[in-house]
Amino acid sequence: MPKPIHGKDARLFAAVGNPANADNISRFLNKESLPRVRDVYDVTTQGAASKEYISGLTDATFSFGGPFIAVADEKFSEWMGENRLNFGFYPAGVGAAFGTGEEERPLYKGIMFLTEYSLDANVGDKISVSAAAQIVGVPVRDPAA
Amino acid sequence: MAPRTRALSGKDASFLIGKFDYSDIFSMVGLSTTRDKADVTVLKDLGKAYVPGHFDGTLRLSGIFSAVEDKELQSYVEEASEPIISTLILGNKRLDRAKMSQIVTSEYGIDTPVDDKAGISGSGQASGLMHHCVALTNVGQQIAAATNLTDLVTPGAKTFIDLGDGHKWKRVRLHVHLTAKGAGLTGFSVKVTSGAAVTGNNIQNPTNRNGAAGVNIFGPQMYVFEFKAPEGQTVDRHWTFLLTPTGGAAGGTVTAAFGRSQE
Repeated sequence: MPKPIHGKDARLFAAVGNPANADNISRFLNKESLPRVRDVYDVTTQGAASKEYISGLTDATFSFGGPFIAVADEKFSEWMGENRLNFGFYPAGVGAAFGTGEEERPLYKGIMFLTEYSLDANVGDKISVSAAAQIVGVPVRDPAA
Repeated sequence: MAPRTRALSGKDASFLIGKFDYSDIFSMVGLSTTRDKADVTVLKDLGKAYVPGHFDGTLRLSGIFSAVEDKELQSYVEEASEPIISTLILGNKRLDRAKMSQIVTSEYGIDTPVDDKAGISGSGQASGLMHHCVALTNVGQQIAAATNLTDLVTPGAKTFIDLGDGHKWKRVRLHVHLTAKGAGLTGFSVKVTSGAAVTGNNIQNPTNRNGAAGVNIFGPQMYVFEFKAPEGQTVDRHWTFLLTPTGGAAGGTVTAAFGRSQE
């Protein structure tokens, strides 16, 4: 029986260097997104009854955003100059032990580098920031799928 | 200083281009830094592989049409032959976070719909966009006397401008937007002081467009000073800037910001 969870429980931790020193940056964010994709190639031929496909390489990116907060802006600005950023993402919240995932609170971890950091100041809204990152290799799920 | 741990309303932002403060005509400012990525995936890889590449920056603006400002803004597209400095301050007080860049304007448009205000929009490339910046003065700070800006930064104090250990940089820049000149303000000087040098690193002679000291002022103007680390090196050093106006009863308004970049 599926157990839906609220997005407010998600947590993102990130750090340059030792993952054990990762900072909980979700306290500055209101959204995180981890899209994982796979190349798909159309191999449909003229004799086929319907379209046919084969799969190719996987890819993964990460994006996050929230209101502009000066201490967070300092951190994200530093990260733009880094080539490797360790991250741990708990979409359902952190379980009993930090650093490991649980059946109902999985952990996605890996390395990424920022590919975009944007800031928008609109007179009718809060100042907001958003960032996008390229994950290096494949994010690891704990527990494994 | 704006609260450092709380969110800010967009109305609290200030935006300056060149010698003008445009905070009273722009209603939206957006700045983005992107980084190229090169696909290095090979046959044996299980997933796609990338390496990071060049940084890039873009600027987006929108606001209300005003004839006085329109005269200057359209010139950024039609006439400007050099990039124009811009400073976005998240707040309006000294030590508030800031974003600095040199703009190459690619578009400036005027819209006049029958059922809405006359509006403007603009976009451009933000050359050398720096996210790691801080305001050195209040926005539009009055220069009441010749010496009241000499303590913008207290040498040795742990302000952001004093980079301290572990803050590596390759490029630092100072933006000075002199938005009004008083009769008594004849010039200003910029003095850079540094802490203990990191062994083996040397700072190149500062490169700037208007001179590091004894700058003469003839009217409202923008000034930019940039210092670069030698190629292939990063520098770990304390930096402080002192902005000292000269002249008798100086007068005028100024907004200054300082930024550093790791690339």
